[in-house]
Amino acid sequence: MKRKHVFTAALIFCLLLAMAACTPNEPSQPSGSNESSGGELNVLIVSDLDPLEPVFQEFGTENGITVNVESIPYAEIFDTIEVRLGAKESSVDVLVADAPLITNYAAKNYLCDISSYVTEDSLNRITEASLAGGTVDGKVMALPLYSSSVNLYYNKDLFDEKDLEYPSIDPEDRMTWEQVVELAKQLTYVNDAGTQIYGLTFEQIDTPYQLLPLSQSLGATQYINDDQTSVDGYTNADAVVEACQFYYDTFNTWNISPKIDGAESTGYFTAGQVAMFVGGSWQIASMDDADMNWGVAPHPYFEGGEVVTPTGSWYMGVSNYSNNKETAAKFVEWLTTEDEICQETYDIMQNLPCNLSVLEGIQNDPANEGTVAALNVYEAMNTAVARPQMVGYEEWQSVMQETYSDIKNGADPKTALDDAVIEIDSLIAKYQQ
Amino acid sequence: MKKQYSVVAAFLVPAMALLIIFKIYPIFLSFYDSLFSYSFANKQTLFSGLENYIQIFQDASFQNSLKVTLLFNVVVNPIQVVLSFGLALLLMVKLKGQRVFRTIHLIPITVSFTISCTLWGVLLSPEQGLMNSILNLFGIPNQSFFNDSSQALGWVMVLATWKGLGYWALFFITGLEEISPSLYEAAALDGAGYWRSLRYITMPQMKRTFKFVIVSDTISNFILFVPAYVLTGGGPEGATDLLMYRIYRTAYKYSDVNQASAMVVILLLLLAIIVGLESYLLREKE
Repeated sequence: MKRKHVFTAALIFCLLLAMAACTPNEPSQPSGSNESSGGELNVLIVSDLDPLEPVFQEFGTENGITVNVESIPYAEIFDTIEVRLGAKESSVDVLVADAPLITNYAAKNYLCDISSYVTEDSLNRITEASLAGGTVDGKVMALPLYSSSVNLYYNKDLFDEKDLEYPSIDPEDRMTWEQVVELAKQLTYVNDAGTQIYGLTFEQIDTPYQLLPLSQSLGATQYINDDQTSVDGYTNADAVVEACQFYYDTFNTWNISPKIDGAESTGYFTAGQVAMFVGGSWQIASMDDADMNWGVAPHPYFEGGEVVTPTGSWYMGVSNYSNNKETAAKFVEWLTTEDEICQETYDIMQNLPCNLSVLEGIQNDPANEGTVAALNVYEAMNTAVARPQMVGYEEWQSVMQETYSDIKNGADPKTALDDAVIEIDSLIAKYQQ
Repeated sequence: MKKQYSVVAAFLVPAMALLIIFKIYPIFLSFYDSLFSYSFANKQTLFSGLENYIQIFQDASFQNSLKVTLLFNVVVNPIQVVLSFGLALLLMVKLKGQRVFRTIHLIPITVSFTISCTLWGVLLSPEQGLMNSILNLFGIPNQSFFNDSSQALGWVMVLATWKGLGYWALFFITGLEEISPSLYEAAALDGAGYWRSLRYITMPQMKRTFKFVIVSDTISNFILFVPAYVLTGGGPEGATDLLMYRIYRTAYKYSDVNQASAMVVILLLLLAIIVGLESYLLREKE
């Protein structure tokens, strides 16, 4: 009997210990590395932004605080944000947000409304379109680090080897996808060293960011219904199926593209294994580092269709669970709107700026004529179409990436898209509840 | 006596506390969470009863994950148990340099699953993988391996077996070493050969080890996650969409912790039934 009592007492003690351990922390005193003293600022970025770290540190030096930068690879960043912000971690003060995900993050309470921290003067220093991209229901949830544009880069040496004329950089002489495919077929061959050379690859293989312009060029304008309750009839519309058929053909019919993933594509291009590369100007540094002889042409379009190019990029926002919201918001404001800092960011990344003063500088500089910089500004002003804004974009993007991947690997485009629509509808139903 | 029980209790408390915190409590928490749903419209969590369970059983993707996970386990568990037992028997043969062989078979255990997956991804890359180069030497065209929906699950099975074989064989080796040599000597005197000794001495003596390996192997394969996360993303066309990976995606990609909790409860129930059945079939008979 006594033995029973001892064991019962032990079990109760264990249970109490367990309950104590599992009691949630008070929200006002969260654990984590972030102290509310303002002495530290924890910034979560995607590794694409690593070259900007010295700029981040300038803010720390100016304000006497330590800026801790945590860099996550592109393939992991969305999951990392979901896991950490989903768990209401206070160890992130500032985070990157991909443009179309801002509505989603706002719905999930990941982002804090920074309207009250940011001055009107600062907001007037960036383009209206980019400000609108970070605004949800009239509240500023994030500010744009820069925008983006995608071009067709090519390897001049491979063109020379096949005695082909270089594509023009002039938007008036923009190539159609049909012309690109014909060129790519000629540029797909096994070289003297026995290496397979491919004609074409996208940089961000399987991602909506780079693949949406295919269907948009064929007339797709909407990917979800007006109520944001269903993607049926939109995401699997005829134009999207036709675009996916084109994507399928590049890998499986014409065999002009290597079946690789996005992490490998730049390496293939810079190593001279791919002749044409649909990519962003942020890869110019990699091309130069590889000492390759590259050229650039405007983003292609389908014959008889619209000219559409990708746009939108990383925004910076303040975590709703940060204990350092004011400093974090000041950092975001400083980084994304200050003329000098935006110029510095542009000088490093060469990405399309959202800051009006920097944009003006590029447009007015005669030295930029006929360069990627001028081409990007032209595309931003004339052909750029943003990705769809929807509260369930994270789910939509995730399923579409898997669908594009399946199509790349040989799945029938129509069947794959119909299956994707069923899954997306099921996943976004929760936003109506 | 009283003092003795106190000592036993003192030793038990830390282990019990950890067990409750990290094992028992999360199970109850999962079940509790599965009965609620987060309302994005009202920004609050509402009681939804069994709605999450009804929804996931109507979801074609979940049905596919369940099917893939069951198929994976039905095939891979017997293969792993039989092969690891076979490996253990081979490693028990007295040979010169046997220790070296044993060490080699331990290598897959020492490499983390993530690194193993990455290495296999490189090996089986459809574009520049070593395996395709070898196949080409024999005139076999390039294969897509993990990118082919008809092959992907099979290759995940191969990878999981490669990783698990040495580990499970270790338990069998331990079990084999515990069998008294006198039993084999007596059998040899009675004229029993290798196969008869295996059938009538080794197998009955190894029953408890088999039970442990079968149950543990089943559990580890039901909760397999890394290959789907690192290599296949659940694809192509859902061919490798193992249940644990779907649970992860539901919770952290699709922000539906409540529905993911319902999936966890279903997985636990499924495991409890299968492990219970295995334990019953392999029970010690009086």
